[in-house]
Amino acid sequence: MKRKLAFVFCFTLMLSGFVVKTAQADVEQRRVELVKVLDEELMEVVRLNKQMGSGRPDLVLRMAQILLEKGRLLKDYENQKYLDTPTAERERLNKDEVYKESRKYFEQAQKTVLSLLKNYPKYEGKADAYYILAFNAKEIKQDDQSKAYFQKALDEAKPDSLIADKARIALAEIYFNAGFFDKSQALYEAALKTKRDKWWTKDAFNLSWCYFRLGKYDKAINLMSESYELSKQAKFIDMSKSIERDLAYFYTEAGRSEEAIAFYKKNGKSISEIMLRVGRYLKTQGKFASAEKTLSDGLQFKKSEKEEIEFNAELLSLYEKYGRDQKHLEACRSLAVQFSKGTLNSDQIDVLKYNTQKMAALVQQQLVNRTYDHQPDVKEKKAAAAVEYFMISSIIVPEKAQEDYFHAGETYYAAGKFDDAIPMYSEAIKRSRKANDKKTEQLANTALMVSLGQGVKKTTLDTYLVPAYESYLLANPKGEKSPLIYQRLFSSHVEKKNLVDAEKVLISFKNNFPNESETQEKMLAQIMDYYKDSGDKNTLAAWVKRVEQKEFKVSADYASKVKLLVLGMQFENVEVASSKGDKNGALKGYWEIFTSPESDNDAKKTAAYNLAVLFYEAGDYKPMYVWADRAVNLMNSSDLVKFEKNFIIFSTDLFQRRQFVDSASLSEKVFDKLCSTDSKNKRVFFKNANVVYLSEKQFEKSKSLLTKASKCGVAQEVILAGYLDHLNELAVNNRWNSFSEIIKTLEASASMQALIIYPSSLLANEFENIGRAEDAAKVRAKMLQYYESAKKQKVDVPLEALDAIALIRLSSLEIKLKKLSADKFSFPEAQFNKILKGKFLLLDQIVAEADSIAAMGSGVGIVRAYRLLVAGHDLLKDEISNFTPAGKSAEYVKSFKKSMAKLVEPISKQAQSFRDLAKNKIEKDNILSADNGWFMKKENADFIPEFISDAPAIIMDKAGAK
Amino acid sequence: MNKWIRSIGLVTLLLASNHSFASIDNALSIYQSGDKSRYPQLVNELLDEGMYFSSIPFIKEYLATTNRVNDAAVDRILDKAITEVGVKQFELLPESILGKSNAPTIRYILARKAFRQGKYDLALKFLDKEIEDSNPVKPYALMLEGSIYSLTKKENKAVETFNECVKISQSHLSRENNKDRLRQLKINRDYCIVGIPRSQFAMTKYDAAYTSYLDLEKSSYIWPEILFEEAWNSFYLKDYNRTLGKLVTYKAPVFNYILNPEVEVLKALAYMELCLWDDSKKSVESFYSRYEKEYDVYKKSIDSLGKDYKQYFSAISDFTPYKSTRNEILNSALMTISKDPAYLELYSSYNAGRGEVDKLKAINNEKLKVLLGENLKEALLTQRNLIGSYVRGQLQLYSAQFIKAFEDMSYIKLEILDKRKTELYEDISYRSGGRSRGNFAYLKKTDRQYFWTFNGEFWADELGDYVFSLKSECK
Repeated sequence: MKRKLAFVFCFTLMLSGFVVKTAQADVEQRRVELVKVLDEELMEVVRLNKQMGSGRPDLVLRMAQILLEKGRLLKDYENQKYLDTPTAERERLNKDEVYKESRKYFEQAQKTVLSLLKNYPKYEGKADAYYILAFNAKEIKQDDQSKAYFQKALDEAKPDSLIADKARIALAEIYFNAGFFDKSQALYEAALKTKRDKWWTKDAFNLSWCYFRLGKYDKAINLMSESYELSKQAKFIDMSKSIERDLAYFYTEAGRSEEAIAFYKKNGKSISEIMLRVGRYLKTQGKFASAEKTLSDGLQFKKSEKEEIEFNAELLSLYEKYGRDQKHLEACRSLAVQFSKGTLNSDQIDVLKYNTQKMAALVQQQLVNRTYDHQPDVKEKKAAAAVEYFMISSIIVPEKAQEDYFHAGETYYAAGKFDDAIPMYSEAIKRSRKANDKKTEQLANTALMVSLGQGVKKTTLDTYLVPAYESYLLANPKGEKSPLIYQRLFSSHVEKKNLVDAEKVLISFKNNFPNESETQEKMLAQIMDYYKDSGDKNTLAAWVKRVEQKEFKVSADYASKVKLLVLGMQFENVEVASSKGDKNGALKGYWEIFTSPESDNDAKKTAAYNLAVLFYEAGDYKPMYVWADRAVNLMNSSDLVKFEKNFIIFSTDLFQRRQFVDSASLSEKVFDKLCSTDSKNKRVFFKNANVVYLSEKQFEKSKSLLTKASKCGVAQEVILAGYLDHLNELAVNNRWNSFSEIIKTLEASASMQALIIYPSSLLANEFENIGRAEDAAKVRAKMLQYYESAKKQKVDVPLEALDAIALIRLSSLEIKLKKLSADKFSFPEAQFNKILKGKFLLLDQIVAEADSIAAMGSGVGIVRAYRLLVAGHDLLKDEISNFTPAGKSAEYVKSFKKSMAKLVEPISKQAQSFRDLAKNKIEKDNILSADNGWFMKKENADFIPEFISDAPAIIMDKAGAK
Repeated sequence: MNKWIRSIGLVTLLLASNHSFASIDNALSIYQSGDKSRYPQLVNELLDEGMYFSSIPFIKEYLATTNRVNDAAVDRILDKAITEVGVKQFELLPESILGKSNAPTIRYILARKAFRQGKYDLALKFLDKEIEDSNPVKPYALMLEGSIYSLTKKENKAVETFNECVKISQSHLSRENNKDRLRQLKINRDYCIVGIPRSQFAMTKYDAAYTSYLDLEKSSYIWPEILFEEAWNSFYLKDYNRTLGKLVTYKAPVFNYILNPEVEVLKALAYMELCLWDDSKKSVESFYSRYEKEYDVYKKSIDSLGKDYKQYFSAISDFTPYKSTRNEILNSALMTISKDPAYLELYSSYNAGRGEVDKLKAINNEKLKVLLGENLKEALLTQRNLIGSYVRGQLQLYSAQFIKAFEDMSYIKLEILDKRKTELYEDISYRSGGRSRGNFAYLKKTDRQYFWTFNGEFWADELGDYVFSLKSECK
């Protein structure tokens, strides 16, 4: 008996769903504790079974019960764990693995019971065993198996036993859930014949539902009523709450509403409360129309604000469903009032929030979609409703109220009510700022700007325009459209002569758009015009100064204009004086400008330049130079480009007045400043400076000028010409130390090589004079290269260069001539012939070489070459004629002499021919050569006259007389 | 909760008769005459000479061989003999032999036999015929009759009979001088005294039973074992503190010879009823840990003895508290048996029988000496087997009690675990508010109850009156 009671108790727990109920806050702790207890229980049963000799089927059954119970507990835990796993991770879980532990116990329980049934086929508690198997199968989702086992339990049990009724109830529930209400009904009816336990009320409640589902309303109501009455007794489970809820529904469905009211009145229940419950229940059952009716009716019976809230909260979704817009709005309005009082709970707040926001959005969408454009009245009402919803929403969710105001503005906008939209946007902006909601602030700003441009009333504009601009700019200081807004705001301030705020706008604009020079210029112009017009020169000057200090980004033109403005202001009086011929007044004025600490660089340079001009005009070259020099110092290159011609005049004037150093200095200064420009007069300044430096023998300055000329873009031929001048001047002045260096610079240019031959010859001579024959030879070798190169390039070679080359070659010819006389004739005859042959051959060479030199075109070369030819022929003629073979007979000698006489005759003639040719050339080509005298002397003269001065000749000074 | 009701066993005692005198010679002469009808006289002569065991075969032979039994004579000699040798020697005789006599003593013996066989109606039938109040067997017959009524749920008649038994026993006591008879009568009276509350208990008149139990003097030989019944009664009165108080008495050194596993069961049960789950579980675990293995050894030990009564006799006769066995249960069991009045009666008789040997030696007539010697031997062997049988029965009884106790203990624990589970499922914190022990507010008393709280010391006059004051922690 005891054991049986324990069994029943155990399953009573299971049936009652206590496990589920306990799964609350501390469910985990209790579950652990329960598992411990079950383990202890199992151990005890095992111990007892052993003590009893392991022959007690009831103990085996008890073990199975414990295993099943533990399995259920573990399954609860596993379920909880599974549900707590994040969704993504949960999807990857293997369910068999998740429920492994509980399944182990279910299987163990199953095995234990099956073994019991096998080993004790006549065991009187077989029904209990099947009952466990049924529950076990239910746990592992073997529903059909579970049902079969419950049926077995019922079959095995004594018909009037408790276990039979339990099995009936379990089966009844299965059939009920499967929708087999008739089968369920029969089982419930059999099980509920006797009120054997406290669950009777609950099971009767279920049976009532069976009746109800089968349309047996009277039976359903009667049984439900009985269960309700019994629920008042402590020995039964209290089902009164559920019954109160469902009975009203039963009555309603049975068309016995009056009885329902009577029933609840009789039981002292609130009609409104019940109708609220029924309404809610109907909602959960998807019977929305009935729910709406019940709740709407129930609202009439409301007894408190709390109930009204509950009704309205339930009704909202139903109103929405059935398009009861006005009622919906009223319900929201009512709930909003309660919200403000703080009487809504969190769920109700959520409902209100959801409905309000949803409906607001819905209506707004309709307006945006122009659904009611053809029904202006409806449209207006809809707009008002949407706005009200938004306003309610702003109260419920104050932290997002800015969005609601914005949407309200949008709603008005969509309805074309721009004057109404603007204050909403304005409020949205304020609240966005407070809530630091940049996005909404941005949207509202844009919307406000657009709305203000929609032809709104003047009063609206007066009130909102400037704040709107300011607000927009605050939110979008650097926005795409912001420049325009800055300008509008600026203009608005200027229009109102509110220069203080206008200037603030300018500053703000400048800070945010530093590169927008054009707009800054316009604003500056307006400001400066204002001060200019109002005669406030100080403020104007202050603004000019700020511009000059580049506080604002303005174009060069604008900056120039501003400067002009200032200069204009500064030079205004001086120019007046100048134009009236008051030179002194003008000079004084410019002097004051120049020396004034207020004057800027531009003013100073202009003043300096004008002073230079005035002094030039006055012919006072010294102060002219001073001011021109100052002006150059203050001017930049572009200034100088503008005034370069005047500076050429200044330097020329100085040169003409023999102020070479000042002239060159000024030229070089200007040249330096023009260096980076594309001024065409750069070469003029360069050449002037260089020539004057050379004339003044300031070779270092010349060299420095030449060096930088290339960097300043002076044409190469001009620079080389400068170098050549420099080289020539060095030669003239016997400055040889940098000579080679300059030559090296020049020889790089093919066109220059012909030109440096002569200066090189001077260097070679200098080397020779100081005994550096090798260096001289090297230079000469180079000269020959220059010459050959020039010939190849077909470049004209200057005459003095030709002379220099000819002289080099003539020296070679002279050596050959000496060689001609070096070998003396001697005999025997063969040797004589050999020497003679050699001499003739050498003479041929001399002739060829001399021809070549003569062909060069050098007068000096031609005359000398012929002289050497003549000398050579004469030498050979004399040597042959004068040789007498020694030891030979006279006859032989005579014969020999005779033959030799014949041999030398053509040589003599040839010598004369050359002599004649030379004379002819000298005269014809006006050749001036030191060798002219050799040919021109009288035939019998003993010497050749030659002019030799005591001092070097005076070269005309290029600079003229100093 | 019926399973927790202890089946109250009844112990019946033997009747004793007055002593009479005869001579050996007379006995010899009757024997030699061969007239068995005169055997009562022969026996009487022998009894007069203190030859109790030696005379038993003659009584049996007389009853077996005589068709017309002299009931008065039989009554007389049996009264004398039973006082010394106990009734069991005669219970062994078949009903057919015993039934020849209508003597009250024989009827009593027959009733006992029927009682033992559970034939309560038959037993009553044997007792149905009038036995005079003065008859020595009367007190014992009344005790037997009361017990039968009690067992057959005729509690009112039982109470009535026990009351009469007490009265008659007291009356006999006042007339009796014989030491053994006085002891037997007192024990019989005391059993009748507790027979009353036992019947009341069976009638669920726990309050009445409680008072009636108090009629038993603490000096009674049977008081220690009855204390346990009182504890049960208190339990049924839901006076768990008193139950525990009575049970703690068994911890007194003077009662350490008592083996009763049910004491521990009842203690665990009382704790459980007070919702002192931990205490209760502790009792269960303590019981298991103390006895589980010991019991296995015990069971094997007694099973190994089989039905060899001689071995059981040796076990008990060789047993002394100072020479105990290694097994705690066996040790306690033998200790308890050795203090058991029934055993003591049997053993005392056996010892007395052995004393007859010296008397035999004094007999000059060899033939008679041999004859009586054989008689004595047979009777003593029977007595030894009776003792062995009794000991075996008791040991088996303890074994069964232990099995029962283990089962009970397990169920107590399972019950506690069930309660704990219920609490966990129902989310009731069963330890909320902490636990305070010992509070007089939970004591219930009647006029006749003494109140002593147990402070760890046992005092003779306080034994049985200790009361715990534990606060129930039930919700």
